[in-house]
Order: sequence, then structure tokens, then C-alpha cells
Amino acid sequence: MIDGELPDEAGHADDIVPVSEYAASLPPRKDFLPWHRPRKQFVRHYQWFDQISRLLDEHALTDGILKYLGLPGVDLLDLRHFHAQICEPRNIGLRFLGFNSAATPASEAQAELNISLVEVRQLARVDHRSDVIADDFARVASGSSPAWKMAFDLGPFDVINLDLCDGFGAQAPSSLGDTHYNALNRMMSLQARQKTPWLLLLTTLAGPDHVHPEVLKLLLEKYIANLTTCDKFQKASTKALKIDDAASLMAAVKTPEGLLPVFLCGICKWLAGICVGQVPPSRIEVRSVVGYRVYEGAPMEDLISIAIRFTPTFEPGPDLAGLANNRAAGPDECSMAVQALDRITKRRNADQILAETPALRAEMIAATAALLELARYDSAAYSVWAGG
Amino acid sequence: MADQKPDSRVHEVHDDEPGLVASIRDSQSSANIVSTKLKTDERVIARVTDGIYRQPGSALRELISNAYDADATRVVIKTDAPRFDRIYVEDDGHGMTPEAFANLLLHIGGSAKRSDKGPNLGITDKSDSSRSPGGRRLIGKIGIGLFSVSQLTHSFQIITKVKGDPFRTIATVALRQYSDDDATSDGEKKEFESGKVNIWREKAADVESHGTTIVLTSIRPQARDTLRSRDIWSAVEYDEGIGAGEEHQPIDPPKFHIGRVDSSGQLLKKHSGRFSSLPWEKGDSPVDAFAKLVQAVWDEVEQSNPNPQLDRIFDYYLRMVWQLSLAVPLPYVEGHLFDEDPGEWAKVYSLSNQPKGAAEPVDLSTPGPLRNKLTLSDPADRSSRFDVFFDDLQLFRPLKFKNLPATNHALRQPIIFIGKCREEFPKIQRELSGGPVAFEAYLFWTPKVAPTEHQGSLIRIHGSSGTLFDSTFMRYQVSEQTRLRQITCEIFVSEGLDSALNIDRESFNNVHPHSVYITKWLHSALRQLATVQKRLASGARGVTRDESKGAAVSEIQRVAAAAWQEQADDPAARPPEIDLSTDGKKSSAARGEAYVYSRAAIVPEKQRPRTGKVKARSDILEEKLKGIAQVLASFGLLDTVSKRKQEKLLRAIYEILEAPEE
Repeated sequence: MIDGELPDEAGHADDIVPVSEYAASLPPRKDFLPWHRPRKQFVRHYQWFDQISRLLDEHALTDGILKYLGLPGVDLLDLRHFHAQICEPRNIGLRFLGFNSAATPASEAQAELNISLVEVRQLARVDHRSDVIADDFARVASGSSPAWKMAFDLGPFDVINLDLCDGFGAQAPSSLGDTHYNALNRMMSLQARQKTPWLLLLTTLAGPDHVHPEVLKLLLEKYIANLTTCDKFQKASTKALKIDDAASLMAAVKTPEGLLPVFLCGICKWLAGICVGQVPPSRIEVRSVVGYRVYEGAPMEDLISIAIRFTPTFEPGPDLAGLANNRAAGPDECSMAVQALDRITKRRNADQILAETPALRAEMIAATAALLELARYDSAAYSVWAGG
Repeated sequence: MADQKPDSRVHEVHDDEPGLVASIRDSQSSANIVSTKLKTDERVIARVTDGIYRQPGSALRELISNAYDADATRVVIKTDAPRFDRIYVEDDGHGMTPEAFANLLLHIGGSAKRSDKGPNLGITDKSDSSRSPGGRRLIGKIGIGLFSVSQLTHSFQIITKVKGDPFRTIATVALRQYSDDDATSDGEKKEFESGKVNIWREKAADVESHGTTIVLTSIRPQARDTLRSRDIWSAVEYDEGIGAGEEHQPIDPPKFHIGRVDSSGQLLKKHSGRFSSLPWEKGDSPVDAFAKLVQAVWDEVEQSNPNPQLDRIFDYYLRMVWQLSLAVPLPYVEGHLFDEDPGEWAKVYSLSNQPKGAAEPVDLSTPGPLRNKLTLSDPADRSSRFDVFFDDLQLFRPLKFKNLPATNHALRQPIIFIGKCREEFPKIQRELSGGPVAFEAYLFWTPKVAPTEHQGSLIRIHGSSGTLFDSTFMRYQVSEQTRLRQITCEIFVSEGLDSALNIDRESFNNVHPHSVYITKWLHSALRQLATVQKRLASGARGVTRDESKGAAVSEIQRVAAAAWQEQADDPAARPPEIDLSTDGKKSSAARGEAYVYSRAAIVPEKQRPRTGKVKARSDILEEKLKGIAQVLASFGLLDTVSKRKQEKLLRAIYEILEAPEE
């Protein structure tokens, strides 16, 4: 180095080769991971599959292709499951857009993802526009991101499955840029173009450590507003959670048991608020809530999967100029919040159900083993791992 | 650089071929990975695997060709345009067995195609090693096609599977930069390491599926910049940085482009309020989208630009897609010329194969395709489907023959010349002639060929062409520049010439007997075409001149038309209109091709009202300007600069013409 030259300064030798090491990449080891546990299969089947099936039973696809946005793991288990359980029996296509950082050249898991992608793209009903891209889903927040462009080109979607590894509410709400809130809010603008009902499957950590205080503050404000302005909600909240005013709400969220339903209800109310504000508005309905415990020592379920169905309305909006006067009453956030709270309090605990029903647990292990076998894992070794 | 810990799953195998095959077959999962080195025993091949192609698109052409040779019916290329961090090429061909795969790795440049090994490895027909198992005439032969990816990246992954195999074979490859002092000596024999490979097998539930996928990652920064049209966007961005001043001449990107990313590569950037400017909509089917791309080029002729150059109207990506669709064996966007019955819309002549021969008219009075009338067989394997998808598009040969835009030329119909030839070289020993050469061809004369890149002759061997259109028509020396620009020619070689292709398949060995023969044949065909075209043109001349415009205007038009006809050596040719438009659209008065300019950019705004005399002078001035522009166009000078510069040039000329005479 010549004196005075900074070591990190870009020189002519930079950016000539994309990698600095001469080595052929190796695939990651095929270890069994937390999300290979049978309870995930319980969610996959008894919530995701079940809700998508009901959606399709009640509302046929307009073009025979199920459009799906998700955050699949490199083994693409969800896509394999839906293809086999939904697309094949119903004879419908599957067009998916996946977000997984393993698709980047720098990722060690890339070789594995590529193999899975080849396998899944060769399935009979997978549309050739399907792809998994390397971007973080939160990149969708920016209207200039390639992630948004891809979503825009392939959407709107029938199913959006945000199977997050972290907490949906963990980021500070005021942070500019690529937050989950901004990303989902932008997706909602695309989904507003969906003519038929669609599903949001949201999986999030929901323990006290995974909810940012400022997020909680904002959600509590909405909750309090409902308590004071919506009689039905106040009654439902009192009955279900013994929360009837601001003071009891503040006391409740100091405990994990109190925080969980309030946080979940807050997220649903936030989504309902977005839907009501759109023209024309949509209606939301919380269809299913399943939880389980991922952190040892957590007092209760701290990972929650929630299935929400969005039903677009085609009611005319207000006309500020006063020429049109056929504005219809939109969906009522208060009623939607009552329904959401009811579902949240009736949530199912996957750990408990599987512990109490050994046959079901065995069934979930067998189903996961079958999926893992497709993803080239040793299914016998899996059965030992999962059964132990 | 991180030290890589030894991985207990990896076993170094540097055996001979059977040993490598046995090791690959032993692997049944990524718990058992075979690591070997790509080796060549020829320095020249080591050099070749490091990159001999000029363009990143060539690598994709070679991969598509490999898929064709593997009897694929469908190839899907997906990129993350306009970022280009990752590209994959997926086909449903036969795939490779571990044996074929080991052969590929250990014999780079010594392809088993067209050799005795081909049938045993399942990559060629059992009885004819020049054909694929499905009977296609092979495009590839040398075995470097796969390594053409080195133009794009040094690291890639191959995932391949043959039908009936309960396993896939996977490989990750790191190619090595060639250096002249790399040889390792093993006694007498020198070996050149071209790369490292990790190979393993993975069980496959879909036993019946087959095909090969190549995933290109870590795209080389230079290749990525080319794919991103970095040169164009750098100029635009530099220009945007300068800002708009009074005399500032903005630099525009090409009319059609896929857009750009910012310097981080993570955000798309708009130009003129849009992220991209494409002639198709996102919701269009791949077939419709491609048809719109082709139509966009012809619309240029129709609307404003008589000589659209892909170079000017497309970014690199669109040009690359266009070139790929010309290069690989595909159907035509509107059908093969041989399948047309041109009775209604063209004249057809049959070319003589004799050096002094003359083209003969073909009787079109009975309906039916040219194929039947002239016993034409191209393409040889019409029955086998080969669909190539490239992101939003399904590729077709982007040539159109029918419903072309009207021109000013007195000959209203295209003239088609069809040739068919087989030469055995009976007087030359096979060792010297290279064996027989056989081909079919058409020369399509039309007053306007668009894009300009299609003016020339394109040679296909078994449907494939790496050379694209040769605008010199194989170094045709006769000065007929205008007529040559009115000809699109394709020569479909079904036998021979293969060995005259240089190793990159992008140029020919000009002294190979087959090249020499085809050159002579083509030059004779051009001569026959010129004779017919001149004869038809003299019959069509004598178009009435508009006498109503007064003597001065008539004289200007006469000079311009004479210059055009002289340069074109064509009495029926008419110069394109020069249209000074107030709304950017071609005026209805301009019937045929026209250069459409913004009036405001050329003619300075004058104060009104004008006297009759001033107006008459101004009209004459405009006619003079148009005449000068036509003369410039006659000599091909107008098209040498961009539209914006053409306007600047004409404005300067106008101002000189307008200058006071005293």
C-alpha cells in the first residue's frame, strides 16, 4: 500500500470479481430445525390448508390459478403441501412469489434452495412465473424496490402468508423505511385491487419482548378508543378479558396473559382500520388463531399464527363534490373488532392439542416426515428426532 | 478471506472417469459430496473455458442450444432484471446421467456429442451421433457450451436429472481465472485446472421428471453492468447531474428499456416518471408480449423513423433478447416464409444455382404454400416443439414478411427469391472439400427492412445461428449499398458448413470450401435479385410528379428524387418524406416512410402576421430544407446521428438558408 492511501478506499482492483475466494460452494447440512416440529404441521394443515380450502370452497378462483405470496424456508415445505393438498385435488394452478434471503449468491443455503425450487417448479400445477427472490419481505415497503415490483407484477394475491421468524410488532413504528408495517400497508394497496376474498396468514412472535413499547402504545390507544366508542366491544372485552377501561387495560398488558390477546387484537384492529379507510373498503374476519410456545420458560404461547379473511366490498364512497349521493355504509370497525376479539380468546394451543391427542401428533409427525422426504431429508431420522 | 474448515462430508476424488462416476453414484445425499477439479489437457481449452465470447448474451445462447440438443421442449430463463444478481436457465430435456456428467467435466472441449460415446451416454441418437436422442440435428459439438457461462460468472450450480432415475445430480462449480503459467506437470503430461466442482446426488420423489437447470450466481460485475446497460444509464445520469440549462441537450435512454437500479443495486430508478418503458403490458401473455416487441420496431418505420436501429431504440437487455430469438431454433413470430402463399402480396422468383444463371418467376396462380410449390423442407424437424421463455416473453424469430408499412417506393410488393442447393464437390476429394453442403435460402427484397440490423444475410446451421445478420452479405464487393439495405436473407444449411464455424460459433472460417461455396452462391443470388428488381423497377417508374406546387418546388423535389434514385440505383425508388410536425405525429400527407421531426425544433418561431410574399419565401425555404435532408438521407448520412442531433443539424441548415442574402 502506498503511504497515505486508505486501505478501504475503492480502487481499480475493486469490483472486478464478485467473490474473492476460489471455491465451489457446499450445501448446508440437513439438520432438523425448530420449524420441523409437528406443531408447525398442525398450523400448516389445520389452519393454513383448512382456511385456504374454505376460501376456495366459497369463492372459486377467477382464472384457475391460486396466487400465493409467502416467506418459504429453503425446503419449500408449505408450497409442496399446498400443491399436493390443494392444487392437485382441485385441479388448479399455483403461482407463488417467495421471499427468502437464501436466494442471494452470498447465502450458504442457496444451493439447497435452488434444488427445492427446481423440484417445486417441476410440479405439474406450478405456473412458470413462480419464483423465490432474495429480498427481505419488508423491502416491499419501498415503492422503488424490486421486491415491490415483483409483488406488483404477480399480485394481487389470494393468499399472503407472512410466516415471520420475528415479531411483527418488534420494530419501532416511527422508523422510516422497510418496516413490516410499511410493507404490509403497501401490500394492502395492491390487495385492494383483489376482487374476491383473500387470506392473510400472519405468524408472529407475540411475547412481551417482541412487542415494541411504541407499537404497544399505539395499539392500546386504538383499543381504548374502541372501549369508549363501541359499546359492543366494551362488553366483549369485559367478558373475555375483564378489560373495561383504560386502567384495566394498562394493568392487563403488564402480564403476558393480558398482553397477548390485546396485542393480537390491536394488530387486527390496525388492519381493520386500513380496510375501512380504503375506497371501496374491505371487511375483515379473523378465522382462526393458533399458538404455541417457542421460548423455553415462556409462561404461555409466544408464537401465534392468525388467519384473517379479507372480503372486498364494492360500495361507492363519499363524493366530496356532492354530485353523487349514493354512498353506502361501509363495514363497521367496531363489529369487526368484536369478532376478532372473540376468535383471539378462543385460540387453540397447538402444544396442548398435540400433547392431549397422541394420534394427532403421530399424524403430524408422519405428514412432516413425508414433506421432509420430498425435500430430501432422512424421514426415518426425522421420526426419531420428532418423536423423541 | 475466511479459511474454510475441512468438511467431513467432502471427499476429494481425482480419479479417472469410471472412478469419478462410481463416486458420484455412491452419493445419495449431501452428506456425501464428491469434490473434483475440472481439468483439461490442452492449454487452448483451458483458455476457452475462461471466456471466448464477446457478449454476456452468448452464454445464454449456448445454454439454450444445449437444451435444444437435449431434446428439451421448453426452456425457461429467468433473470432478476434490471438487477442481474442471479439468472437461471431451466429446461425439460433429457438431463445428464452421472456418466454423462463426469464425461462433461473431464473432457471439456471433447464433447461426446458426434462421437462414439454419445449414444452410450444417452446424449445422442443410438444410430446417428450427429442427432439428439429425439432426432434433432445437434447444434453443439465441441463441449464448451456449458463453460460459456464463464462470460457471466465464475460460480454456478447445475441440477440435472434423467427420467426414471430416483436421484438428481447436483454440482456447484467455481471456474478458475486462466493464467499462462498455470500448468501443473505430471511427468510428461501437462494438465490445466479450469475449476473446482462439488458433486452430490439427492433423492428425487419425482422419478419420471427430467431436465437440467443451471443457476448462475455471483454475476461478474462487468457482465452485470453490460446487462444493466450501464453505459447508457451512466450517460443519462451524468446528464441528469448537469441539470437543464438553456442550451442543454438532454440525453435520453433508448425508447424501450427495462429500467435501471441505483448505485446500491437495491432500488429502481425512474426516468420520465416511469421505472421502465416496454412495448408490452405486464399482464400480456408471453406470446403477445413478444409480438408487441416486434411490432414496436415496425411501428417506428410507420410513425417517425424510416431506419430504426435496435442499437438506438433498445437497451442491452432487449437487444440481447432480440438477438437470442434470432439465434436459436425457434418458430417465426408470424410463421415461416416457406409456409406462406404470397400470391396476393409478393412476387416470387426461383434462384438459379448456376454462376451465370437467372432467377425465374414462380407461378403463384394455384394456391398453396411455397413449401409445396418449391419442395422446401426447412425446418427439418418441424414436428418437435421448442418453446423458449425469457422473463415476460416467449421468443420467436422476430422477422415479419407480410403487412409491412407502406413506403414511397413505386414497387409496392416485396419480391421473394427462393434458392435450394446441394453441392457434392464431385471433383474434389472429400478430405479437401469437407463433404457435401446443402441448404435452402430466401432473399426477401422490400423497400424498407426493419430493424436495420436485419439488413443482411444470416446463415443457420440446423436452425441455429451465432453470426446473426451479416450486412456485407459475405463481403459482396459490388457497390449496391441501397439495394443491399433492402434485403433480408436467411440461408438454412442442412448439411455441411458446421466445420467452418469458428469455436465461438459467432464467425466463419472464410476459406473453408463450404464458406467459399455459399459466398459465391449468395453473390450470384444477389446479382440475380438485382437484375429482377431493376427490371421490375423500370416498369414501375414514371410516377406523376405533383405539378401544382410551382416550378421552384418541383425543381427541388426533382433534385432530391434524382439523388435518391442515383444512390439507390433504382428508378422506382422515392425518397422518404421529411415531415415537420407540430404534434410529433406523422401528418396524413406523408403516406409512405417519413422522417418525422418536431417543427418547433427546426423552424424558428416567427412573428405573425406574414405577408403573402414572406410566406411563399418561407415555404420555399422549407422545401429546400426538406430537399437537403432527403439528399443527406440518400447518402445514408442522416441516420448516422441520433434523432435529436438530426433536428439540430436541420435547424442549423435552415438558419443558413434563411440568412439574409445581402
